[in-house]
Amino acid sequence: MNISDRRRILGPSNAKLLTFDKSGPVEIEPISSSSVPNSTSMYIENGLICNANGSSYLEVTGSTSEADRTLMLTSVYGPRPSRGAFNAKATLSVQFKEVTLEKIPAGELKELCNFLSNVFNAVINLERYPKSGIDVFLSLIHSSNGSQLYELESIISTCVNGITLALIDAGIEIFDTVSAGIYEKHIVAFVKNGTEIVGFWKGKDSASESEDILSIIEQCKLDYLKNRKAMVEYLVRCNDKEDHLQHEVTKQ
Amino acid sequence: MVLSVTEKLYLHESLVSNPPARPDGRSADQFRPIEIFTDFLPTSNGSSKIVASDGTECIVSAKCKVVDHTLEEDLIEVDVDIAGHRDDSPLVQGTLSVLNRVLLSQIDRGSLRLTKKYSFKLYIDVLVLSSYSHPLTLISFAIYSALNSTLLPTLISSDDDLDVAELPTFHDYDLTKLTIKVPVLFTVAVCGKNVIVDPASSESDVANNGILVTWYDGKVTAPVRTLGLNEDYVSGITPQSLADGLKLIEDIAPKVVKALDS
Repeated sequence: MNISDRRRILGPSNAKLLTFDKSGPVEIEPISSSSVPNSTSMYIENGLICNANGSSYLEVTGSTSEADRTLMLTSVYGPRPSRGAFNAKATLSVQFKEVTLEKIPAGELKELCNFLSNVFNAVINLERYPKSGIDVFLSLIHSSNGSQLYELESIISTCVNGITLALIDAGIEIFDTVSAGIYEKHIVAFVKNGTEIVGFWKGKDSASESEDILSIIEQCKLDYLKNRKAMVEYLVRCNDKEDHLQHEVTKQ
Repeated sequence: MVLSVTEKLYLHESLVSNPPARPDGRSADQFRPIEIFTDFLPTSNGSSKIVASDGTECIVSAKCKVVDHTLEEDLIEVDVDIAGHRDDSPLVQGTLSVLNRVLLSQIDRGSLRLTKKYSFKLYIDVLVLSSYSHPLTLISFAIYSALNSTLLPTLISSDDDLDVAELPTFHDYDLTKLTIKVPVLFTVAVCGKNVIVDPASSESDVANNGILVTWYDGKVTAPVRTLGLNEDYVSGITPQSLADGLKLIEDIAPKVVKALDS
C-alpha cells in the first residue's frame, strides 16, 4: 500500500481509503428444496471448464428416490468466427455425448440434439453474432433411474437447464432464462415467466392420458418456476460473491 | 424455392392474420391433394407410392421374414433414405428414429405372431424421391397405406410348436391380409396465434414453430413434440397454440384415416 501508483491520480498521499461495512465471504451452498417431499433438488456449479467460453455442471436428484440422479456437464464455445459463406446470424450446434456408459441409441440422441438446437435457436439472440458459430457440448456423466437404464425425460430437462446456465456463463445474449419443467413424462421448456413455450416433448405415453393438455402444461410450469428460481438464486449468489471478492482486492 | 427476406416477411404476415391467408388458398385444416398407389412392387409384400401436389414423392416397401420372437426383440425395422440428404444428416436420422420408435412402441406384436415361437418381422424401406417440405407426414401416410395393403403368406402348419418343434410351413400361393393398426404422424405449423396443418415448404420457412403429433387408435399419443421447421422465424408459442394444434389434429385425423382407408 505504501508504493505510490504514479499511473493514476490517487489524491493526497495521506488520504484514507473508504471502507465499507460488509460481512464475510458469501458461502455458496448447494441449492436444494429437500424440505418439500416428492420434488427434485439441484446442485449447480458454473465455470468448471477453463478453456470453454462458458460451462456449467448440474447434478439433479430425481423426485422419486435419492438413487435417481442425472449428472451433466455443459460447455459452450463461441461465438467464434465461422469461415466460408457469409451468415447474417450465428449458427448454433448442439452435440450430446455420454462420457461413461453409452446406453442411449444414436438416433434418439440425434433427435434430442435437434430438439435442443430448436429450443435455443428461439432463445439466443443470434442476430447479434453475425458470421459466427456457437457450439454447445453436453456430456452426460451419469444418469440412473431405478428399473430403467436411463430416463430421457430428466436428461432433457437437465440439458435445457444446463445449456441456459452455460450460455449465461459464456455471456452470450439470450432473450430470457429458459428452463424446463417435467410432469408425468411431459417436458416443457418455457420462457417469459411461463407464458411462452419454446419446446414441448412427450416421448412416452403416461398414466394421465385423459388429462387436459393445458393442465399438464400448468403442472410443468410449476416445476419450471422452481427450477428457474434455483438457477437465478445461484447466479445472484455467484454475482454477490464476485462483487465481494472484487471489493476485497480493492481494499488490499 | 428460396424466398427473399421481404417475401418471407409478407408471407409471415399473411399467415399470422386472422383467418390465415395461405399462399395456395387452403384453409387452416386443409391438406394438399395427394395421390396414393399401392401394391405396385411385385417383389415386396406390401408397397405404396405417395405423390403430393408440390412434387414430393415417397415410395415405401414392406418385406417380411420369419424370425424367432424369443430371440428377436424388435419385430419392425424401418430404413429411411431421403434424396439429397446424407444418411447421417439430422433430418434423416431424426425421421428414422421417430418412425422406428413410434412403430415399435405402438404396433401390437401379437398381430405379427405366427406360432408360439415364430413371428413375422417387417422390414419397411422408405425412399423419399423428392421432398420440398417436411416429409414426415407423407412418409407416415405411405407407411400406413403400405402396411394396410400388405399380404403375408398363409400358415398351414400348426400354430402350437412348443411341444413338438416344427418350422412353420406356408401355403403355396394363398396370402393373408395383414391386419394391423398403424400410427399416423402429423406436422402442424404454428404462425402467431394460428395453427395450420400440412405446411408447404414456403409456409415452413416462415412458421414460428412446428408440432409433431402422433395419432393412433383414435387418439393422440406419444410422441408429441415441437419441431424446428426453420431457423429464422423460430420463436416461442403460447400454451393455447399447442392445445389448438392438438385439437386440430383430433378434429381432422379421423377424416384423414378414413380417406387413407378408402
